[in-house]
Amino acid sequence: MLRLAPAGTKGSFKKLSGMPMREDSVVDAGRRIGVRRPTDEELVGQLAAGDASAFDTIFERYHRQIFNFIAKQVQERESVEDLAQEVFLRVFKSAKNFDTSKKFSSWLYKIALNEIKRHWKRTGARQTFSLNTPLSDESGDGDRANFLEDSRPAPAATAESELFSRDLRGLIDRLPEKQKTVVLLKVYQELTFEEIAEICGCPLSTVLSRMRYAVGKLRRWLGLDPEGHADGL
Amino acid sequence: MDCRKIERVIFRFIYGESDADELRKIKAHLDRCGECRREREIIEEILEALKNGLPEDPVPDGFRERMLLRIRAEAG
Repeated sequence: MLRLAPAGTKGSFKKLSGMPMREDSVVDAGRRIGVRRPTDEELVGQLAAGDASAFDTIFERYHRQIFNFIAKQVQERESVEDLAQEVFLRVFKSAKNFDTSKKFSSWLYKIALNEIKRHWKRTGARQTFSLNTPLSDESGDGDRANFLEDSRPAPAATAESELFSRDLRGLIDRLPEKQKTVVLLKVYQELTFEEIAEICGCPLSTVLSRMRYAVGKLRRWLGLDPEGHADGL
Repeated sequence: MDCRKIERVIFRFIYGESDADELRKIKAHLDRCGECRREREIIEEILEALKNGLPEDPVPDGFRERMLLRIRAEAG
């Protein structure tokens, strides 16, 4: 677990946990003896009250998701880590400002989204993975459409799979920013549309429209729209 | 519920987020509309391709430790 300071050192933090233990192990053990797993919101409340060990648990629960959310939008690895650190630093510093009647994960992703936007503003670039060249087969008669039938990479198909992943990143990056955000939060972060609406600060119907338009465009770019209906999306 | 309405709510249905009333109406429509059933299949294929097409970005070694150092430095 992340240790913020040796037990008993300066600061108002309570004594930190002892032996390192993964949170899922703790949860399993807790279930066996009937201990309830604290909610995210309770943990932020504990953090706000000075219990740094609560931050350990928050970090353990969310650092992979946040790192991945940022990594899918920012190319430079160093920047991804810097931004992810910035997100958790903000959580640490701003826990007292968190409204515990709200959902913590929405607040966290909102912070991450703001950090990413700030990064784009600073660097003046958003399209980090864009491919300037058109897809090798815009008509969709080729391998890309076939990929949809079975996406599991066979050993011999690794290079092809990597090529598809790169192309897919390029395609996702071609989406308008707001549509791309919805796709990333839904497909890769597996948030509900309600949560995404809260993060994006827009009505649920707008989120659903963005998802529909985004998938319509991807469908066309992947050559899966023989009648070209997605043109208008 | 007609095809236009289905188009607006199909993603909620696919991800299991429809309420009971919406779920019932969508299922009833899909039972009788082959075109919408096909649309649903295509959308699900695209979503699956998206999900499986991008690998997870591994968190670099030492991320926690560097995070810890930064918190110590900046948050005291």
